Amino acid sequence: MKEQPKTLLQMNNVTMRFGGVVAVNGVNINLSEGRLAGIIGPNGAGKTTVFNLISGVYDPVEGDIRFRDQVISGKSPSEITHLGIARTFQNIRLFKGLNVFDNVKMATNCRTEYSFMEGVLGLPRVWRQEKESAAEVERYLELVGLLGYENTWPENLAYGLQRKLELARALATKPALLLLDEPAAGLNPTEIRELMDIIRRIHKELDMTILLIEHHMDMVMDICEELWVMNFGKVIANGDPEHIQREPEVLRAYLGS
Amino acid sequence: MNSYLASILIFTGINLISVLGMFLLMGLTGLLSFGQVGFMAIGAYVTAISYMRFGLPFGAGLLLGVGVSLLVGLVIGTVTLKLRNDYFALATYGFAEVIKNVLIYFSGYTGGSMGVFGIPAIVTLPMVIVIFLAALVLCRNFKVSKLGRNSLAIRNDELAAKVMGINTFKQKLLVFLFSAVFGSVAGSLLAFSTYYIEPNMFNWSKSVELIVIVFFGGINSLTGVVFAGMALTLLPEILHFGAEWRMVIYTAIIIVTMIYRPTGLFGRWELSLSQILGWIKGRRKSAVGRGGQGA
Repeated sequence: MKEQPKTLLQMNNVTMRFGGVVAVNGVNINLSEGRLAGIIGPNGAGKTTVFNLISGVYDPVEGDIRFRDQVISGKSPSEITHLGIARTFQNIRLFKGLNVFDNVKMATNCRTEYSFMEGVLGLPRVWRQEKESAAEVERYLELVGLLGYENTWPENLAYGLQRKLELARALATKPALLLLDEPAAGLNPTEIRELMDIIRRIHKELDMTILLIEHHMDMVMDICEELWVMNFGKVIANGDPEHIQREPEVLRAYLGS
Repeated sequence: MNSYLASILIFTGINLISVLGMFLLMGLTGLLSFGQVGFMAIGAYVTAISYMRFGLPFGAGLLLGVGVSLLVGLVIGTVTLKLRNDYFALATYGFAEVIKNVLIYFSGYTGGSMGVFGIPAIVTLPMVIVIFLAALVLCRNFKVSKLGRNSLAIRNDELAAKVMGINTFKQKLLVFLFSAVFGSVAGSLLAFSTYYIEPNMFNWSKSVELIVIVFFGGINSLTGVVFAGMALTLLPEILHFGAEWRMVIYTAIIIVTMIYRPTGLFGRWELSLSQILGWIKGRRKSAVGRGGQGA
């Protein structure tokens, strides 16, 4: 058997307040390396805020967040991306001025090494790295099924394809931890099945740890190995899907009894 | 070529160099700046004064001007680029006005509002063309490398750009400094082609002119901006518009562009070397598109 999996992401007693509203209240999350896990909970439970805290969009008021035993709370979003965490957005945020290909390619920028001066002078190293990135981009586009759309503008893509493009863009930063904020929102059942396959492939083939927020329960229960349930800013349950489904606290949060 | 035409072309070329800086800053990165003219003033005055007073050769003075512009740009950029974009625009407007007033105030060196006279016309048309082409190549390299993609990402969605790993402040500062170099070089060339410089040549209306050119040509198109720069600098000269009509025309251009062609005259269209070669060779290699697997 393999040794005990290492902890990749750790949130210790993290609290986030906006004025008088406590969006996240003393949350503890311990995510092991290699997991495909999910956060579920009613609207306004603080799930997206947790993602914003992990990705550095917000700094927590209390508590700390560790990634590979390094404290990342307080670091800027770009630094955190460089450390190996990537995310998608609930409300799609693609770059409208860049075509599909460049939307993904820009995400490889954080790994290209040439400097500003090399870039404007167009030195050979620049072209070599640009070529390498281009090959990578094709791979990610293939993985999510967007090959052939390279020169399309993102706003002209169907909604489901835009979601896939966001996914490819996040992958292109080559993260160790991938955060997916409602990847299935707005997709039809066929597209959701496709997406589940893609997520499984990413998890297995690219060996990524994945944490996702989702409202489609059948999808979550099917693909996630571990779940956290949030309500009113707090984690009310944690465990594997079968265990979660029987938890009375969870049933109360969802059914309101 | 007669000297009148040559001087118009020199002036156009100088304007285009400054416009290219504006294109990177305002077009690609989305930072509306009224400060470009301030860097032109710094370049012009530093080069002129170091030549006239201290006998520094033109080339050295030009580089000194670039150095001073970079230093000033570093200070201004560091304090203003963390502001929201609209406040940044206001701050750069203030910066350009401060530069103008400093030039008027320290009249011992700058000649005050009378300016600096008797600058030799060292700048020639070939010199301007060479520098312009070099600037054009730098801009093109910028646009097609990761620098251009980073800038466009910042312009479209700064938060998403940060989350995708771009240090947005650093990128904005580098672009600001880079465009300041373009402005400074243009200023130096201007000083040594017009015999005299005075603070009023570096008014806010000059910045507006640069902004209108970029906006008219298309914030995404280097080709469009160069075309618009030529058209909007050459036409008034050739048709002998007075300065008072210029502003009216610029305003009209902005309104018409906004209504009928909000992405600028050229939109996203770029003229590429391979296209030109393609035209020359006829229609031999027409469709060599990437991908092709189909949807």
